[in-house]
Amino acid sequence: MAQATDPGKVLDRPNGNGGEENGLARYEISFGQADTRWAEMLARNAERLLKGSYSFHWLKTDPPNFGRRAKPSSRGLTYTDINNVRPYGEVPEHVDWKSFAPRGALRDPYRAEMPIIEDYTVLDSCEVWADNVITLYEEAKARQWNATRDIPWEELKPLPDDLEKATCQLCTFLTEVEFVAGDFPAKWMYRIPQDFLEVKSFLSTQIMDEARHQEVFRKRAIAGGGLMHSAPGFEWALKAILDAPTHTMGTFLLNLLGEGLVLSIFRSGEMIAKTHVDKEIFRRCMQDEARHVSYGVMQFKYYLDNNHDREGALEQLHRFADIGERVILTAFTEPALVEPVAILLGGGLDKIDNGMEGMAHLWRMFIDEYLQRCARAGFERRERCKLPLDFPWRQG
Amino acid sequence: MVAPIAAMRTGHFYIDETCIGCGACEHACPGKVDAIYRVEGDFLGRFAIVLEECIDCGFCVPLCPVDCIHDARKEGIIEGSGGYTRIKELQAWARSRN
Repeated sequence: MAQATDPGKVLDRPNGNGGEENGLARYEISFGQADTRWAEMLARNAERLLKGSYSFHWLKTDPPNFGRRAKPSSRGLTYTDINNVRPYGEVPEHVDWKSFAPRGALRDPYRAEMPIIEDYTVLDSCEVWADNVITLYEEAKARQWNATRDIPWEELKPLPDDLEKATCQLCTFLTEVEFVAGDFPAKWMYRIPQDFLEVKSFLSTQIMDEARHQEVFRKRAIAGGGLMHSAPGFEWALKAILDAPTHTMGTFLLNLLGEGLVLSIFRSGEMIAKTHVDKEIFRRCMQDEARHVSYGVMQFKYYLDNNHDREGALEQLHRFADIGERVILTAFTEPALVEPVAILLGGGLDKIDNGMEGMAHLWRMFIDEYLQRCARAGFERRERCKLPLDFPWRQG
Repeated sequence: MVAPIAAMRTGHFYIDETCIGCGACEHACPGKVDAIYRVEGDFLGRFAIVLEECIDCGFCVPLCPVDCIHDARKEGIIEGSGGYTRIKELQAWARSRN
C-alpha cells in the first residue's frame, strides 16, 4: 500500500527573508518559460472570441451523467443525498486525478491538457476516509458556535486566587495545544486531492473548531487574569503530532490519543470547572472534540480494514505508537497541567493532595478511554501501551 | 387509512450511556425518520433514539466510534461497558467529597 509522503519534503517552505524575490523568479520561469500550455489555450480562446465563434462543447452530456437530479431529504440536501446519484458518490480507492477537476465532472477528455498538482500526495482512500466522515461533517455544520457571543462572559466572576490561577493555567495549556489540532489537518488537507472532497470538507470544520477553541481558552485566561506558563513538554508532544510521517499516523496521535485525552478533560468539566461560564465553555468544546475523536477512530479503523497488508501496517503503527505515546506522556505529566487540574479537582491549593486522588481517577479514565478507542479501530494496544495504566504519583 | 410506520410498531435500537456525543449517528438516521436526538441538559452531550420513530434500519450502528448503539433483539438491554464508564468513578469520588 502506498504511503503518503511527508508534505514538508515536497514543498519549499515560504521564506520571508528575500524569499519573495526567489519565489517570484521561480514562478516566472515556471509559468513564463518552462510550461506555457496555458498560453496555447489562451491564444485558442482569444482566436475563437475574435472570430465570433461559439464552441458549445460544454453542452454535450456524453457520458450522460447530467440529468439525474439529486433529491433533498427532510434535513435539506446533504452529501449523502447527492452521493446517492451515480456516479457522484463513487469514492475511488486510489486517485489518479491530481487536479481540481471535480469528481463526477466530465474530465477525461481534458486530461492531457491539464496541469498536474504534484503536491497532492495522499492518493489512497484508506489514508483519509472514514465511514462516518459525511455525517460528522453534517453534524459539525449544525453545531457551530461563536466564542464571542455564545459564552455568557458578562457573568464571569473572579474566583479565589488559587482557583483562578489554576483555571488560567489550564486554559493556557488548552490554548497551546488547540492550534496543533488545526495545523495538523491544515498541513495535510492541501495534500488530499479533490476526489476525497468529503474528507477535505470535514477537515475544514475541524480547523474552524480548533480556531474557536484556541480563541475561547485564550479569552477565558485573559478575562480571568491572564495567560500563564507554556511548557516544553507540551511543545514536544505537539511537534511529534505535526511531524508524523503519514496522515493516518498523525491522525492516530492527534485525534485518537491527544484529542482523546483532551476530550476526557472536557468530559470531566462538571468537576474541573469552577464557574457556570467555564462549564459552558467545556460543554461546547466537548461536542466539537467528540467529532474529531470520532473521525480519528473511524479513520484509523478504515485504514486497517482496507490495508492490503494489515499485519505489516499494524506493526508499523505499533512502532509509531511506541514513540508517540511516550512523547504525549511528556505533556500529560507536565506540572503545568497536572497541578492546576489537581487543584481544581480538589477545590484549592491547600487540597491539592486530595485533588491528586481525583487525578488518579481521571488518569484511569484517560487510559481506558484511549485503549477502548484503539480496540474499536482494531488496534489492540493494551499489552504494548507505553502509558502507565495507573497515575504515576506517589504521595511525598 | 394506512397508519404511519412510526405508529404501527416501535424500533429496537438504543444508545447506551457511553455515548461521547459526536453526532455521527444523528445524520445517519434517514431524514424522514429523524429518530436520533441530543439529550437536552445532559452535560456529556449524549444522544438517544426515539423508539416510536426508529425504523430499525441500523444505518447508525457502524458509524459509532465507541460501539454504543445496540439492537435489543440481538443483545437485549445492556449497560455500557469499557473505558467510557470510568467517568462514573470520578463522579462518585467527587460526590463523596461533598
